[in-house]
This record gives sequence, C-alpha cells and structure tokens, in this order.
Amino acid sequence: MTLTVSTDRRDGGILYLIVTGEVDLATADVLQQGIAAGLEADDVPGIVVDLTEVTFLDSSGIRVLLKGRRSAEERAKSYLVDAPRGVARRILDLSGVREHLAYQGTEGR
Amino acid sequence: MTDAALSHLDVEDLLVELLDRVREILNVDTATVLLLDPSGQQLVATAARGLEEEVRQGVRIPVGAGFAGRVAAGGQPVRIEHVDPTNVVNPILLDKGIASMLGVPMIVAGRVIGVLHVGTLTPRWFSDDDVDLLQRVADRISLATQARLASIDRATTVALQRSLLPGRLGMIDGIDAAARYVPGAEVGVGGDWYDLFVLPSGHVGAVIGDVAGNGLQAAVVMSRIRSALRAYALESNDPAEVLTRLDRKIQLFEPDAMATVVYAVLDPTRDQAVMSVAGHLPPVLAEPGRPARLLDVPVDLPLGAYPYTRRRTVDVPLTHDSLVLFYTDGLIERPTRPIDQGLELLVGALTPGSAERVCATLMAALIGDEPTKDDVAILVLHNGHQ
Repeated sequence: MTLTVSTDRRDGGILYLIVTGEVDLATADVLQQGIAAGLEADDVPGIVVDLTEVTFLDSSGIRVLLKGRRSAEERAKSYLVDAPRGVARRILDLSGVREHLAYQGTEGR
Repeated sequence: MTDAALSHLDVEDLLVELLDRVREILNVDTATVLLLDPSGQQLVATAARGLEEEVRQGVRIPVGAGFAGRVAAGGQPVRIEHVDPTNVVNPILLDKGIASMLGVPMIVAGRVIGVLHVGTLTPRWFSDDDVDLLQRVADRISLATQARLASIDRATTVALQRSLLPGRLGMIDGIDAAARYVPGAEVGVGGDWYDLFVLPSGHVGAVIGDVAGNGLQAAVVMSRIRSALRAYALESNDPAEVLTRLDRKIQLFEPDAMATVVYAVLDPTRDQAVMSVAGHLPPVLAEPGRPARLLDVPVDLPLGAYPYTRRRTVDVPLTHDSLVLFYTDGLIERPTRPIDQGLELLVGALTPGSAERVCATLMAALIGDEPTKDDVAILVLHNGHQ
C-alpha cells in the first residue's frame, strides 16, 4: 500500500504530477496535497496528473481527481488527468468521469 | 489511578478524574480541558474542576482569540500572571476572580486536539517546572482522550450503519431481495449503503451507493444522502430527476462530499426497471437461459462532483425470474488483479437462485476468506415471485 507523487516542470511551466502505486483511502491525501500544492503555486499555469503507473484506484481517488478539476476551474488553471492506459483508465471510464477530468484554463496570464 | 481503572469511563468522566489529580499536584483552584471541535475553528469546554460552569454553559473559544485560543493557535504554553479583560475573552474567568493562569496545548501526532489550563484565585507566577509538569499531564490526557474518542466514533459508526442497513430484506412486494454489508479490514465501517423501498404508486426503489471516505463522518453523510434520496423518491418516479435533486442538495449542504449511486425504479408490474447511474459500477443482470451480463448503462458523474450535471436513464426490461445485482467497488477491486478480471469473476459467479443464496454465493466467490481493504455492499433483487 504505497503511493508516490513525483513532480516535473515542463511545457511552459506546466506541473506534471507523476503518480505511482495505489490510490486508495489511505493514500488519497498524498495525491490531494500534491494537486493542491500545484494549483496554489502562483507560477504554475496548470497541472497534469499522470496516472499511467497507478496500479489501484478506488472511489476516494476519483473524488480527489474530481475535486482537483473543480479547484483548477476556480483558479482558472489548466488541469488534465492523463491515463492513457492501464488500471486507472479503465476505472475512470467505468465511473463515467474520464472525459470530465480536463479543463482548459486561461494560460499565459 | 491506573489506566485499567480509567478504561471504563466516558471521555468527560475520565477527564474530570484526571483534572482532580492536576489540581492536587499543582496546587491550583481550577483545571479545565477544552477540545477542538470537528471544524477545527473553536475550542469547546469539555471538562472542568473549579470552573464547572464553563462546561454547563457550553463555553466556546475561537482558536487564536483569548487565552485558550492563543494556546491552541500557537501550540505553545501560555502563562498569565494577572488575568484581566485584555488577555482573556471568557467572562467566566473574570467573574470567578481568577488571578493567574497557565495553559498548555494537548497534542496528538503533531496535531493540537485541545487545551488544558489551570488557574489560581491568588496571584502566582507559574515556574518552568510547573509548565513542564502540566505539559506532561496534557500529553497523557491527550492520548487517553484521543483513544477514547476514536473508540466511541467506531462504536457510533457501527451502530449507525446497523440502524440504517437492515440485514434481512426478504419479500418486498413480489420481489425476493437480499443484501450484505461488510466493513473493510483496513478502513472499518465506511460510506457504502443499499436501500430498497416500496413507493405509494406501487413502484419499487432500489439503491446502492458509496460515499467517499470512512468512519463516522462518511457514515453520517451517507445517512443524510440516504434519507434525502428517499424523500425525493416520493416526489418523482424518474431516477434521473431524483438524482439531480439529490446532487443539488449535496452541492449546497455537503460541499466536500462525493458519492456514487445507482438508483433503479421498478414499475408496478415489475417488467421494467428504469435506472440512473452516478459514477457507479454497472449493475449485473442475469436472465433465465442466458449468461449473466454487465448492464450497458450510461454513467453520469458522481453526486457532488460538479453542479448542473446532466443525468440520463436507461430502461432495463425484466423478464420473469431474472436477477439484478447492485454492488460497490469493494466487492471487485483488488490491488492484486485488474478490475476487468474482478468484473468477469462477478458475472461468472452470478447464477440463478433465491436472492439470499445468490448473495451467499457471490460473497464466497468474490471475497472468500480474504479480508477486503474497502467496505463492501451488495443488493440482489430476484424478480417474479409474485
């Protein structure tokens, strides 16, 4: 039961959160803090949450991802949950949320 | 007094016993514990000796304000040699003629959970030794309080779940129904629930849901969502409309909550179910003579996700003797296997029979003797026993 979130700045300051491991009730806070820290930083125009290496994702993780998108919208920052394949993509599709986890902020303010 | 002797006491009784000891050891007139309320914004007087009116009057001190508020905000001891209206906000301290005070934070795992303070009627400068001693007492009290509150929370959560989720459903207006709820091994009782009710129109409502989170908070939110859904169900037979109203209520009154739900309305002749799905895993349908299958339902966003979410319905024809299974993600999600494998297992395990037997078979096949980390709820409806 481990989760790591590493960060990387790319593409004009966009913050990439690379999430590895299991996102569940016990670890969802770690992801939430990573997303919140990224959205609160003044010099971050947007974030990408990369779930490619996630091996488990339950409803507490989905809640964090949805709240993240709402918070990005409030701050007019771009937000994208990237789950090109694997466990996370399947679960986001089954829950009907994947298409809602992208928001185009007002970049280049 | 030993920990064993203290172990049967309620939080308030436990604190009062400890406060009496504090008064003796430090030779002070008053000793009070204020605990942080769930919002983290206010301290609530919970136990007091010498200042019992603080508890009786339900004194609340904002964190950051007044004497206790400063102790909580700073996480550091505070000494006042001469109490006056500039350094305390609580009129009771002034009215009682408290001259000097010492307060220390109650800290568990680096987090302030409350404040312990003592006072004297004659002026006194509390020494560094007094501060150290009171802080050591506060550390003990903090741990005991936290453990007691946690065990009360657990017991309350279990009682709440039990009162809301009847174990045995039986025959409900021609439908043979059964359900299971199992707390998670790692998270304990959580926010999963099921519900089944007959409406005055003869329709039957069936619900499965999962409020994100665990413990008392999730269970309390679940109980509110569950009763609100019932209330809206009385006003409309359209499940999308019921979930839309429920969503609006959650957005306004439970802004931090999120819940996935399937709400199905069976018509009075029981030959069709109309379903609306909010971010939840699809139900499974088993008809006689056909392999069981996951229902192809349009999935809309969970409740509480975004305001003004569009919600859709799907009509599911129900043949005689068919079974519908609703479940939460704890039944199939395991870190050790892909979710599709869990879904396959589930569909494969669903064979015709009475609802009770189907429940038992499914729990044996999907859970067996392996503890699940998340809580699990299932609801099985067996149509056609009129």
